[in-house]
Amino acid sequence: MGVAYLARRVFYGLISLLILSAIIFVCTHLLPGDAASAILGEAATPEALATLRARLGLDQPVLLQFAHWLGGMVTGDFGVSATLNQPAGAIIAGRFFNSLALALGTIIVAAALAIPLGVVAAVKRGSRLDGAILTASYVGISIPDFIIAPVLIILLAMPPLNLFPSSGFVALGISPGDWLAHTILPVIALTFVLTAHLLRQTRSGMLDVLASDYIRTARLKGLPESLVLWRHGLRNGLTTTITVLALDIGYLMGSIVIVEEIFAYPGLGRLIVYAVANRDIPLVQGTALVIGAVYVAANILADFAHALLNPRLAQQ
Amino acid sequence: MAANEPVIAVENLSLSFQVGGERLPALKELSLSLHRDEILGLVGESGSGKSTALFAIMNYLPENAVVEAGAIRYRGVDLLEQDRAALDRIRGNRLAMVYQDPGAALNPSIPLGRQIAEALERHLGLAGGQARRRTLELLRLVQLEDAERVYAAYPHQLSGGMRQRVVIAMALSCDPDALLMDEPTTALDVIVQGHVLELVRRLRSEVHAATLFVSHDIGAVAKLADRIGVLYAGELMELGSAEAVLRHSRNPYTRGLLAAVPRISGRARLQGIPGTASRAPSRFAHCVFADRCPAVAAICRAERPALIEIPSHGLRSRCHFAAQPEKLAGLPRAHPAATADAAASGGSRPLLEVRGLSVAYRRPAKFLGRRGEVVAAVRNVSFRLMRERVLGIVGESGSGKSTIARAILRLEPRTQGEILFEGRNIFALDAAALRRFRRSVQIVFQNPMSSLNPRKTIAELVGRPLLLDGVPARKAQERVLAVLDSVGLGAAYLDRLPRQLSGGERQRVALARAFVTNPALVILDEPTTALDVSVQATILELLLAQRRRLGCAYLFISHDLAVVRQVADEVLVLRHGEVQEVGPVATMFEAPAHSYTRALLAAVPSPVLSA
Amino acid sequence: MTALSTPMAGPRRRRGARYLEIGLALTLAAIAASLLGLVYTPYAPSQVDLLHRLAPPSLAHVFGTDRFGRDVLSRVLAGGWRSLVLGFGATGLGLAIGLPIALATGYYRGYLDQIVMRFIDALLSIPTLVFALLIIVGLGVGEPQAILALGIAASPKFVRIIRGAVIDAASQDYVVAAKARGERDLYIQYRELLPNVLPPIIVEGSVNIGFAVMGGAALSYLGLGTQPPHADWGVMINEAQQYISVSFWPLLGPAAAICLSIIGFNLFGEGLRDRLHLRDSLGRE
Repeated sequence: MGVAYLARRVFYGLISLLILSAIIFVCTHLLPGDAASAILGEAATPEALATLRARLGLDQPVLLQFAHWLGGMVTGDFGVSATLNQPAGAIIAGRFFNSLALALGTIIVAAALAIPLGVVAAVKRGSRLDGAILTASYVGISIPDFIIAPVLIILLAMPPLNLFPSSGFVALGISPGDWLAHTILPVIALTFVLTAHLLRQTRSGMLDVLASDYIRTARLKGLPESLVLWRHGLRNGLTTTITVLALDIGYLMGSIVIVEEIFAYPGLGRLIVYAVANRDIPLVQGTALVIGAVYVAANILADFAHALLNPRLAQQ
Repeated sequence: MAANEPVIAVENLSLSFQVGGERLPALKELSLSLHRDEILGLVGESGSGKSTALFAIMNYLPENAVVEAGAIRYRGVDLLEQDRAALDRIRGNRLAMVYQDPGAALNPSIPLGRQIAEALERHLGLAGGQARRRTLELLRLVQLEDAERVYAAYPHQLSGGMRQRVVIAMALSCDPDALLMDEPTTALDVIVQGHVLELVRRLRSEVHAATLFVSHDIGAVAKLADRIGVLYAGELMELGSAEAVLRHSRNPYTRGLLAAVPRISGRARLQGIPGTASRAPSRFAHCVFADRCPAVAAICRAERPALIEIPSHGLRSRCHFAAQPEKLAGLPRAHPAATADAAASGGSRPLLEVRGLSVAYRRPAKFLGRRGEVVAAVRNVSFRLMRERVLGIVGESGSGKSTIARAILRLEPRTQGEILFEGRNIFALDAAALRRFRRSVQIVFQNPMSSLNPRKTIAELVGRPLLLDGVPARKAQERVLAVLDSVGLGAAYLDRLPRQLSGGERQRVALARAFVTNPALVILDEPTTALDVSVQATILELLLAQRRRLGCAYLFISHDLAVVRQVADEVLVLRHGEVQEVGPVATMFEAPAHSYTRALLAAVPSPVLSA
Repeated sequence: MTALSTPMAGPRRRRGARYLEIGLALTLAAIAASLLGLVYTPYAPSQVDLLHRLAPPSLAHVFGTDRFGRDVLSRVLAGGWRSLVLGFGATGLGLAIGLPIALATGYYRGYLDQIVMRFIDALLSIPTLVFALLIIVGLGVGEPQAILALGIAASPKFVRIIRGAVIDAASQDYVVAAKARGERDLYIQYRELLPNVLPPIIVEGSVNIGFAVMGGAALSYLGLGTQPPHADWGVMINEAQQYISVSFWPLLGPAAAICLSIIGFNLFGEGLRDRLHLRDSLGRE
């Protein structure tokens, strides 16, 4: 396979991350007031501000600050959280795995639901089943997470059913059972929207494939429809699904912010909300960068899988 | 099976499509038969229903297709009544198809050998090794000598011609009783077309299948077919032996079609068929061709003609006057009278002179930082075009002919060499001279759909060059009306949008737009390639008439040698960006010097005819 | 002839029509309700009634009351215009930023295109909400900031989709004809190309209004958009959620309002896309 192709993809990914970090840096420095005055408040004396600025390195030219920060990122030093006074990296790392658990769980469940449903809808396009599936997916995309979540809580986490806790978290190491109980509701909430999204895209992709000439050739070769689908259709249809899955991870990251907040689940989403609300710049920057990096990594993985399935790409 | 019994018999097939609330008829009482060892060519222009008929035989029709009457019999069974399971046993096995676009028809992610072998495995029960051996045999049969490599290759690794051979091999794999070919050479380059047609001809001794060859290219059909059927607007107009239909046709549409086909043997006065084919559902109440027929009479508009048998020629023709040839005497002759080639002009200064033109382009950069390689599209091309003359530039796709056109229009950044218009270097013009240049040099493109902005009215489209040049609006309007009139379009067209026009009408608008500034030079880049033959003839005649009236010169670019023969005074043959040969049209076509020119000429199929 | 290659091409058009009409109806209803809320509500949105807090729906209070006894229906009506202004404003801003960039990059291609698209790709790797959060960190909290943030955050998506349409249109011969005529670049971009890419703009814009409303409500929910005690659907849901163990009724009003509005805009946009036979963000129909 083309090693050059893969190397190129990774390179582009790194460029994206570089640009992303610049954007993050710029965004967090937009306000006229800087971090120092945000931390010390209105009543700060000029000397206190100056000292703090020097300590935080805010008195240096912007580009230098950026280079510093970037250098730190690369070596794993995410700075110190302004509000929590701990190394930001450690905080982020801990939350990262929690969010990862949510994300993976959601993707697996959503894919298991959406891909078969999407294929069925495409194959039976125009039928009532297709219409029902399509309508359900449109509605699913339109319901915000911050409505689904409370509804789930009402239904499942409160009397009479009281199946799951409505918030909080227990580490996996301490009690797997409890960990699961606390993870299930957030995953269900996230799965709703992701399934709807993934379903539409899978259906679209399969419709395209089914409309192509080589499917006609396969049918006119006398192959039964099941074989046409499995051998000729899915292989090319999967390629699009994989692209879509990667893009949907980005979608998911956005949903995670709200859902973690609602369920008080200690992940990256909740962290960034907290950090933004409290203007904890290092934390904001680090978390945003990690979220972006997840997306970029997912895309690179998708490209790899793409190349495996599509021999034409691999030979470029 | 008795020797004369048809392998496939289409019996009185009437088929429509349900679109919205309407039922639109596509085929009316179509009857034809395919016999072993025989090729039936089905000819028709766009909208004739020929592809529909082809796919109907396979019973591969859209959900909204409605079979109103008739049957398609194969071995006593009506194919239109079979369920999917029964059809699966027949398709690819007893009936096989060859497709128009081989690149799209092959699965891009499965090796080609496997795509052929799977039919063998499915229908003949061949096991892995056997299937592979038979597949390699088939590949060699279609002259893909490097069979092993092709077996493991993917479609994108092969050229268009090779892919089509693979498709043919796939079709022949189970030794089918009938072979259905849907415009198999249309998507291929000229020389490759010739090779594939040659392949099909040569396979006849090995393949005894009954073959249906559907095409809009009468020349190709004439080269291969034993019998020919002519379809028009869903109606079979004529059916008979190839010789009978081509030489002794008794049908006005067929005659009109044959009169419109350009020949490479000599310049002729082509006649197109005015108007467009009707799509009205009510057209079958009378003769479908009545509106456009030069020999139309009252009965034609009142009654639908039946297929009349002409035993003396072995022909069946659908026309009220088929058995009365004297009534059809006024029709265009199937062999149009040859006209003399234009005399060489006593040229003074050339209108356009190109010296040592080289155009390169850079392949898009892939790796950030390392730019794409530079490819030469045109290499050291030189020629001259005198006033009021037509220079034909002939070449296959990728030969660089369009690049030359763009270079002359100053649209190519990486140009080397000189281009002189009226003696002046076009890259060194001052503002006023540049405006005059733009007024004097116009272009017409191949695709009438994409060359007109779909959101602009005809008036805006044709008037824009004038407005750009500073002509006041009122005067521009007058001029637009005048030029539209000269191309046969009335004032009613002013407010219409391109999508409301037919292909031929759109191309006329494109011509009008080119002529509106009274140019000295019009560049025509494949102007008739996307048009039906009958429309093409009208446009070509229009071009020649305009040239006589306005005294402009043409740079006529085409891959179609027969068309070039009709319009050009001189011809330049281009290959891979380099000039192979250039000279007067008669010499080029009758006594070409270069081997490539000869290969091009040999590949062109022409309807059987003698003067 | 695509009709022949898809034997399963069924009566597709009819379904799309239903979505379009339903979406349009819901959208118009949302706009009407919001306009109404500007001039009339059954009770003053901030009118407190501590005796009837968290009351279930009744004749007096059709959607019940919230934790301060304020009439939920009145607050829903009053808060509508905020959400809509946010939806339309953010979308308008996103288009205003994205359209010129898309036209320029799609037309010129080359290095400009490469660099800008790298940039856009990087931006697209952050979820819209997170991007909005970033901008809010920079700009502070509040409504105008929310509009700005959501507008800027939506623009990369517009650039990507519109640029695709521009590239398709720019490959047509009428653009070559225009260049040959010597038309100015801006003329080609705005007078030749733009009219031909209007359909995807309208569709994506409509769909985005729904998502912007959702994003705005999300920001308010998180306390980063409209601040309480202003009536705003997101804020209302946040407040209602805190008292969910006592009564889930206050959730009903704002939840229904948000869902129906977003469904309306989405169905309208999707129905429009279906009707115009356009391709979605991944280039498919």
